[in-house]
Amino acid sequence: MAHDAMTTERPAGSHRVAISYTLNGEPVSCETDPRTLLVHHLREERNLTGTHIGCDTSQCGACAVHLDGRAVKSCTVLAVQVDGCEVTTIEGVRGQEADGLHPVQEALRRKHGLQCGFCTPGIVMTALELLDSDEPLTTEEVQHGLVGNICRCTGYQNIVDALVELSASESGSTDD
Amino acid sequence: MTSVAASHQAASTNYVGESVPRREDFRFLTGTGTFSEDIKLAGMLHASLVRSTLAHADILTIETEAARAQPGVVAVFTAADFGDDEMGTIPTDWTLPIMDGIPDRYPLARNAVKYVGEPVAVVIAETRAQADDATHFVDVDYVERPVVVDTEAAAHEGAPLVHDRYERNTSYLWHLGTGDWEAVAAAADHVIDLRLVNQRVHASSLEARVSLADFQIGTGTLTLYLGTQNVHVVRRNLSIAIGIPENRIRVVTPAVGGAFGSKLCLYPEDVIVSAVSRRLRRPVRWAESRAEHFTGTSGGRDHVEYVSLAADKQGKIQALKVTTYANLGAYVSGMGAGIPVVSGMMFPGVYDIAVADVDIHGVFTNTSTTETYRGAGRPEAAYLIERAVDELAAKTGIDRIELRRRNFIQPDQFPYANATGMTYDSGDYEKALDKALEMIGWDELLAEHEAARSRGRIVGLGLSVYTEFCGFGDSHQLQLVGFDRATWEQSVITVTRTGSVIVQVGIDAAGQGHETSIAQIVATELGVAIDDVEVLQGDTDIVHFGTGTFNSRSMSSAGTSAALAARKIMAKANRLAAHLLDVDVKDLVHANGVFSAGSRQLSFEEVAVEAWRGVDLPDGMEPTLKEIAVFDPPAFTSPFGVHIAAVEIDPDTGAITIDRYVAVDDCGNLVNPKLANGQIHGGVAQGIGQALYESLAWDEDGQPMATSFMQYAVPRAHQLPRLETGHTITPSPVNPLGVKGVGESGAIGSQPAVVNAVMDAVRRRGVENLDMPLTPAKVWSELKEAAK
Repeated sequence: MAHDAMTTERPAGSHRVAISYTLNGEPVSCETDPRTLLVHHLREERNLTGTHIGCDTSQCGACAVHLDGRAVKSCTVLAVQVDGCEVTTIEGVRGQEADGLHPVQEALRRKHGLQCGFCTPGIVMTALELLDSDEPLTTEEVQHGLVGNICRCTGYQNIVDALVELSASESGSTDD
Repeated sequence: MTSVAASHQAASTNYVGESVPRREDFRFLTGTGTFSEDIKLAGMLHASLVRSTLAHADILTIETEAARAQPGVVAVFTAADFGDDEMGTIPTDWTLPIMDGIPDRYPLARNAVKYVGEPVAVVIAETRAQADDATHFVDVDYVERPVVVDTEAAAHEGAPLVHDRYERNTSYLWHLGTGDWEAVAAAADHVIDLRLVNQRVHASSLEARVSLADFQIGTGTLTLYLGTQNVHVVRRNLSIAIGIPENRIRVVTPAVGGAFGSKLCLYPEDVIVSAVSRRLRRPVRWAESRAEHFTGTSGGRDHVEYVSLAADKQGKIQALKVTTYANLGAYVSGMGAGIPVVSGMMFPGVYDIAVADVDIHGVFTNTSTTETYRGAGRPEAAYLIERAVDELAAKTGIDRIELRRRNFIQPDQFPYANATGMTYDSGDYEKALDKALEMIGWDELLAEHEAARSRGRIVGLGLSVYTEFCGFGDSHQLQLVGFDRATWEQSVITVTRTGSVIVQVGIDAAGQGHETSIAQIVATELGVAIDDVEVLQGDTDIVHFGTGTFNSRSMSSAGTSAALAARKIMAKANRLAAHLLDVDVKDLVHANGVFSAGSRQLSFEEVAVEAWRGVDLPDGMEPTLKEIAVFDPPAFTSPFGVHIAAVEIDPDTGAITIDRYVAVDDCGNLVNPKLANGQIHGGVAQGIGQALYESLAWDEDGQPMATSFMQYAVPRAHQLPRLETGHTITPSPVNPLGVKGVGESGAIGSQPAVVNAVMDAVRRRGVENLDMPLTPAKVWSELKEAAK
């Protein structure tokens, strides 16, 4: 039985690698181990615990972050791979006002698109990329856009409705 | 004393029944909600477990020297390192009186292992990676023993024994019912027989389990952080297992990333990290991998059921007979033993059936344990009776709607005691059925389906009418069947000097939104703004007593206790206000936070100040506005509802599409309609998951076949239909809020509705039975077989 978690944040006796990258708009220079996954680096070495680990096998999307503007599952990326890149986590997503919510977050809140909240940061990061489109998204497009994110609480309907509605409003459409 | 009332008198403070936005949301949307694994303590060590790779074996030796020598490793422990006083057996919360005790379950296996994944040794290291790496250097020498996995086969004579101390794997045979099935069946016009498998499924909350123990040598106190649905039950059972008195154990549950019943019992790892932290005097964290979650955290269901119905010519059901084989797993976990029995108590469902003859066999196998999973017994019962009633309709040719109407318990029959010992508080099934039929357009859909079939399409329409039980009570009846948890819930309300309100409540939310809904109830009762009410839960040092969140009891039990505590506050505040305004209490008016007598007024805050000051009080009144209320429900509540699904099957692949889905649920009065709907959505999603996709299975050697989301198929966004939800409202008479509970209904009504719809589609093509999950391969094969 494969019961080991894919935890790799600090192996024994290996050499450290220097990396420099931008994290939520701020420069970071540090050393990490070659086998450390980005998700463990963020959670354990940068103390950014908003990025969650749900499955260890890249199935659930709870660990989604943005790497150079694209949503990636941070359990599939080695920390050393982000050298020179721009990384945005849920902690870097904010609205216009101090302590305000981003429109994606606000839409999820309005539609009750979260319950336990464990998948929510990953959903937000995935949705930000999905909504980066000039055309309003259909329900099917949003459903398939979320294929890499598991939510066990909501049944997805309120999440999908929130994103479809937001997409329509951001595209200037008056359709509900 | 007179005064002008404070400013917030204008706004309505009637929050109950409103879809108040959740105060929990901001922190989860921004990633600032603290889950158990987000907590770091100075000097924290990491635990990784060596687990059994065999389903049944004796342990000869465990070699740990090589592991101890690995980098970063602080210690390696096996059962031999701990006495019973340091790491004793894990208590359960429900042992039926007819059981011959329970098999000893030590957190680390002693002498033998009984399922794949059972903890054998624990490696403690400075980092998680070091601990994980070192587990591979622990060498366990086993002697294999025969394995039994199949639920029904395990009950047979001659099956390999899971536990030597018993002569058979059947832990108990519990009989329920009344009347003479044989006589009724012999004289009946129709008898149908059906064998159903309600497969093992897994809650698989997106957050797996985490336990972080922190023993303080100076005070001898242990703090355990974990995601649980009941901190007080964990405190009690942990105290029994490790011998630290309850008043020196603090259990904290921060945000919980989903639970659904899987985080109710005390688990081996909780005890292991606690014992190790006490031994090493450092904090120890164990964080479960998803594979460990699927193999070690309790699943649910896993019943094999033989059901028969006897009916007269008109389809009036005269008697019910059921034999259930229920898989307990390798040990008895938490409430696991009791669930099959209370399931049996719900077998008659919404129908007035006079005679019932039910045998329930609780059976050990070499698999992980079963436990509460969303619905816990009621989904199995609803599936059984609703499948059987459709079978009866098919056999008699009586329309399935009409057949159900002829057998419904009628509104004037409540409270209704069914033939298997359960009493339903209230119900009106016709009303919910009519509403659901209208919402989906039943007759039009039937006609559309006829037309579609004539063009060769495989379509079906199915429904379920269910009732269930929530709010666990009464305590007397439950203790007769060995239930060893409390049924009461308690709330403490404190009003501070500045009029802000603190509610300490003994439930532990895992996404339900109780911080919001309990605040709605208390703010409404006190007539204050909801933002003035803070709800605290999930820490035994903050909330000293409680029973927890399960059985959809949080509104009916905790909500009621909070309302009753608030009413005590108001009774005292009224007396004090009358005293301060120098009027009789009966001449005092209270509305929206303002006490008035004629033109003179006092705000809630002004009364709070005087209560706090304690100088000008009526004779005999103690200072402060602080009250406790404990509510012990006099009976179960009985939510009910009707779910209808319309499906189409792709003849080339066997894949099922749910085209329409209507859910009409009656959970009594609604505290927060939006949150209630959210619960229905999530429950239906999990029920459809069981019906179509999910199965936790083992091969014949007891090796798990699902250890990740790649094998265990929880539904994705595109795999669920659009839910059309509605409610009827039939208040519960057994609590003052009139609430019934809503957390599990969706998972109860959905599986039978979906499977009945699929059966409606395939029965006319000769398929007689299908067992869940209705995977494309299974449906395609059965259709092909039937066409031969």
